[in-house]
Amino acid sequence: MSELNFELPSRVIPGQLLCPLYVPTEPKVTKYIAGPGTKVVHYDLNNIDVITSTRIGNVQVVEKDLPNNEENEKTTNNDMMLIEISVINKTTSNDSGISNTLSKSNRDKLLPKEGDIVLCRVVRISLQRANVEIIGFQNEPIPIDGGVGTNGHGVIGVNGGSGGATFSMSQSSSDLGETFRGIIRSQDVRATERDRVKMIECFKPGDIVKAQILSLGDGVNYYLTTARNDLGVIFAKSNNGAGNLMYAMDWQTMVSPVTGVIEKRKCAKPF
Amino acid sequence: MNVQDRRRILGPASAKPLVFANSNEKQSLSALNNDELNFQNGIISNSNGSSIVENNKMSLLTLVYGPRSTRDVSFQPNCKINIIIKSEKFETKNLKELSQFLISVLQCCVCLENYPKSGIDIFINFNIEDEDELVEYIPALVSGCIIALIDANIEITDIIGAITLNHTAVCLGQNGDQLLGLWKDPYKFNNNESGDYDDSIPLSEIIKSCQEKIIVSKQQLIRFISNM
Repeated sequence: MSELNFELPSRVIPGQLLCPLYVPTEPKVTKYIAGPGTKVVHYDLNNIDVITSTRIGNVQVVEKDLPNNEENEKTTNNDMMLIEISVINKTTSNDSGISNTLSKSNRDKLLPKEGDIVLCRVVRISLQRANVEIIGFQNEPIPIDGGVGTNGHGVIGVNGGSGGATFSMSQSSSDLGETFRGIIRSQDVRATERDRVKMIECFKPGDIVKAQILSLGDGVNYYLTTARNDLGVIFAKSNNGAGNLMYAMDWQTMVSPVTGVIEKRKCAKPF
Repeated sequence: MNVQDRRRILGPASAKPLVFANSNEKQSLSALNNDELNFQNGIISNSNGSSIVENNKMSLLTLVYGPRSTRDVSFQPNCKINIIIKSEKFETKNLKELSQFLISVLQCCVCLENYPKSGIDIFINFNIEDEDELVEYIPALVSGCIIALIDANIEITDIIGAITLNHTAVCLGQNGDQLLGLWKDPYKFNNNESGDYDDSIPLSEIIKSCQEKIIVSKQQLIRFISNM
C-alpha cells in the first residue's frame, strides 16, 4: 500500500472530514479514535468510515496506550499506534473558563452526564427518596435557556415544546419548568448505615444540595448520590423555609445563627 | 370570566395594543438588491442559539432552545427534534408538513445520541412581504437551522445543503453524495396553472444537477461558519 500523506487541519467546522480510521504510516499503522467533538461517519459512496468533526474548534491529538486485553485479536499490538482525535472549543481550551461565563461561545456543556457534580433543589421528599431538580453544574455555566421555569426565562412552543407530548400536570411541581429532574434514593444519601437513613432528617423541600450523578436513570429522573463528605446540603433555611439560612455545625446538624434553632440535615463538608 | 388564568401574569383590564402611525418613507432596497443570502448568528440572547438568514425578499429568524428535558416516562437514548414554523402568509397545514420534513432532514446530521432524554426545540419565524412558494424558502430554512444549531453548540456531523430547482427542493448531505430529502409544494402537484413548471424534466435529472451545484452554493455558508 502506498503511503498516505495527509495533514490534519488545525481549525475545523462541523462536517469537516478529519481522517480515516486507519492510516498506513511507517513504521506502525496509525489507528484513530473519535474523541469528544468528533464522530465516525460512514460514507456510502466510497464505502469508507471516516472521522468527522462535529463542532467548531481546534483539532487536538493525544496518543493513547494500547489496551492489553486484546490478545484474542489477530493483529499484533506492536504494529499499531492509537491516537485519539478530538475537537476542542477554542474558548474552552484555556482554563480561565469561570471568569467569562456569560460569553455564549464558552459553553461546552449542555446536559448533565454520569459523574458530574451538580447543584439541585429539593422539590419533594418521601420515605424512600428525595425528588430534586437540577439547577446547575459545578464550575460550568448552564445553557442560557436551562430551565424555562424556576431557572430563567424563555419561550416554550404552543404545544409545550419537546416536553409537551408527554407532559402531565400532576408531574409538575410549581410551574412548567423544564429543568432536569433527579432522585436521591435513601440508600444513596450517605456511605455508612445506608439502611437506617431517615429522609426527613437529611433533606427538606427547598434545600440546595450538591450531589453527584450516578446514572442517567429512567425517562424522567437522573439518579443522584450524596454519599461523600463534600456532598450534601449546602444551603437550607430553618423552620421549613420560613426561618433564616443555617450554618452547618457538623455533617448532620445545622444551626440558625439568629434563632439558634438546630435542625438535622446531611450536610456537605464546606471546605 | 370566573376562571382566572393563574399561570400567566395578565395585563390590566384596560390595556390596549400599541398602534403606530404609518411611516410613508419607503426604505430603499437597493442596498439589499441581490439574491445572495446574508447570515447572522447569536442575536437572541435568551435562546441557546439563533440565526437570521435574509436576502432582499425575506428574513428568516431561527431560534434553538435546548436540549432540555422531556417528560417522557420511558428512557429515550436519543434526543428529539421539534420544529415550529410561524408565518401568517402560509397555511398552518403546509407549515406543519414542512416542519416534519425539516425534522427528518436535520435528524440525519444532528448527533442525537449525544443528548439522551432530551429534546431540541427549533422555532422559525418567517418575515416576508410577498409570498413565494414554500419550496423557494427551503435552502434558506436549512441554512438557518444549521447556523442556529452550531450557534447553540449542538454537535452536527454534516453541513446539509439544499437547492431548489424547477419547484423541487433537494436536500443533500456528504457534499452531495447523500440524498436526504425532496420537497415539492403540495398545491403545485394539483394545479399547474402558472405554466412555468416544466414537468417534462425527470426527477433524476433535477437531483443530478443539484448535486453538481451543491458545493458552489454551500461555499458562502461554509465561509460564514468558519468565521463564527
